[in-house]
Amino acid sequence: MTSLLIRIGLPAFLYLVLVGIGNAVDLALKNYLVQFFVFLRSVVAPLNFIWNFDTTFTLLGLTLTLFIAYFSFKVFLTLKNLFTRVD
Amino acid sequence: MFGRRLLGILFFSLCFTFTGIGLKHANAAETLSIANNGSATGSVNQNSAGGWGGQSFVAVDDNFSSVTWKVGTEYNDKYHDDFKLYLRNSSSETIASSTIHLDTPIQFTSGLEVNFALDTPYPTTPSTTYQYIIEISDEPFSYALTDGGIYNDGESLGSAYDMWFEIYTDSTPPSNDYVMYYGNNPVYTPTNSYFSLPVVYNVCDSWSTTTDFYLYLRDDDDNVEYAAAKLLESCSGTVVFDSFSGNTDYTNTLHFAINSLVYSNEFINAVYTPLMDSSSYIHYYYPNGLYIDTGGGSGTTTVNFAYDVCADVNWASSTIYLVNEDSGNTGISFTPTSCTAAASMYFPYSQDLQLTFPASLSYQRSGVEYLSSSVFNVVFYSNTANVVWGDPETATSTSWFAKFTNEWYVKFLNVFPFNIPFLIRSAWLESSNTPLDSDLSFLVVADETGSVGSTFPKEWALSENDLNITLFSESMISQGSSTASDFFDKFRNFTKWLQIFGYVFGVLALAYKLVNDMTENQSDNI
Repeated sequence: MTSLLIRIGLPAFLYLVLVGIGNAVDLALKNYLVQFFVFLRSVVAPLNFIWNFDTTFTLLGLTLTLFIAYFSFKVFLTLKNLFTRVD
Repeated sequence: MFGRRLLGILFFSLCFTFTGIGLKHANAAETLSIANNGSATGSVNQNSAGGWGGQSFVAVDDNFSSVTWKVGTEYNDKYHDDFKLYLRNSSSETIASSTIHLDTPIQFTSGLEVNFALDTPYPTTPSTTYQYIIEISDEPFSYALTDGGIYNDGESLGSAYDMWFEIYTDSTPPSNDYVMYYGNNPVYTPTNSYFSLPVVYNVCDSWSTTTDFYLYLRDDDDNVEYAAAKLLESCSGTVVFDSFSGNTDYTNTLHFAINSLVYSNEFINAVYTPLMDSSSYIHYYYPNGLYIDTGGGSGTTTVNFAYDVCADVNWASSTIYLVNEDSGNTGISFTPTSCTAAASMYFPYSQDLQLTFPASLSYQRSGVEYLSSSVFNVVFYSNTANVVWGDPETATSTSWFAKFTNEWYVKFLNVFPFNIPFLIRSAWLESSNTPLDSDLSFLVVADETGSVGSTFPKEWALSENDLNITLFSESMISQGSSTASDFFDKFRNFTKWLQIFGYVFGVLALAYKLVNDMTENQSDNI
């Protein structure tokens, strides 16, 4: 029973936490991010005719995601080793 | 060294020579004598008599307060300090006097004005005759007036003498008649057309039912009359004087006159041959406006038009611009290869361009517009919504994906950190339609079109308004060339794939390095 709880409940809990963080980030940061991008747009606008900044910021988001995913994975591995280490 | 000394000697010699010439000229002036050669009769408020260099009389509120002697001929006097002025009536009784002291030697140059202020202003009445005398020092000389109060021409009076002049007040009340031109000055009129000159006048003081009053348009130089005189129907009013401009270029200074009674202010009339004639035109093909669908992404559309500028002999060095009448931008242009043709210019656009502006086609040479079309609307529109998570446009979109992104359960797909790319991309797209908070507006570097400008205060620009100067814009680089704009458009598209390629390559390289590191670590552990 405990094993079942850990195998299903923990990932489900973790999923809900991540969804919560995701929506919180969306709500809390998006307006600031939009304002920052409005400013950034005016900075890069003179070069907009020669550079596709839409692609740049899409890839920037992907890169950031990969970094976060990578470090999350590292944290997950560390925690897993901590709890399941067999000496 | 010797050369320099020689030059110095030459220079000073020249200086002395010119100084000597100047002194000699000044000495020569002392030997000039004065001749009385004019009428001695004058009137109040009016320059009149010649005489001892000429004189004028000044009356204030019908009171004589001063008499001004305006020197007509150069005069030198070495012997006298004081000039005395006596105002006498027709019975030779002195009624006012004044003295002016001048340092000796007195040297009056032509045009110098010497003002004798009377001790007390003397009242005048109409139709009264007065005389005045200018007396030098204490040596009064009496010279009787000749018949009619006029000195004989050429009579030499020497260097120290008195003069009598007769003055009188005008019993006729001043006339309020006038005629005034109140149109543009200069008036520019094309050849073979008509100019209309607005005139306002009032000759009621002189108006008579037995006389015809005509309004004349005259040349200032030789008083030649332009066009037919216009018969005036009433003693005052406004009249528009129409006249044919003729078929030759000319510039003349003109004025109006009414029966030689009154004269108007002068104005310049410039008649020119227009560059374009009635056969010249420039027409666009968009009576309902030019609509450009940007939904398909970036691209280039054509602006079709027809023109005839054959009247301009220099049409080969001209350019036809698509002018944004709102901003004055002339980024799109066409260089004519024939003086009349149906042609088109290329107009690049991008997907995120949502803009409507009034435009016209302008025929220009060396920055001067000679012909333009009427104004039409240019409208960029898009029927395709940007399908992005969180993008406001998706709220009104009918696509299945847009509906999907607005469903409640999508919130459960918002898993951190995998929502980051959507968050960044949607924030980026939303920022294109969002204004910066007013508190932060000073941070904005460029406007929506990417132009960087600066506002110079009117005090610096020496103009009535603050001056907006564009420091950088795409049109500065492309110079209105559609080829350049086309190239930039393609290069921009190229950068998209360049970035994607770089990203994929970077990710693969990092993954390879990561796998390598992990594998090495494992082998180390074994």
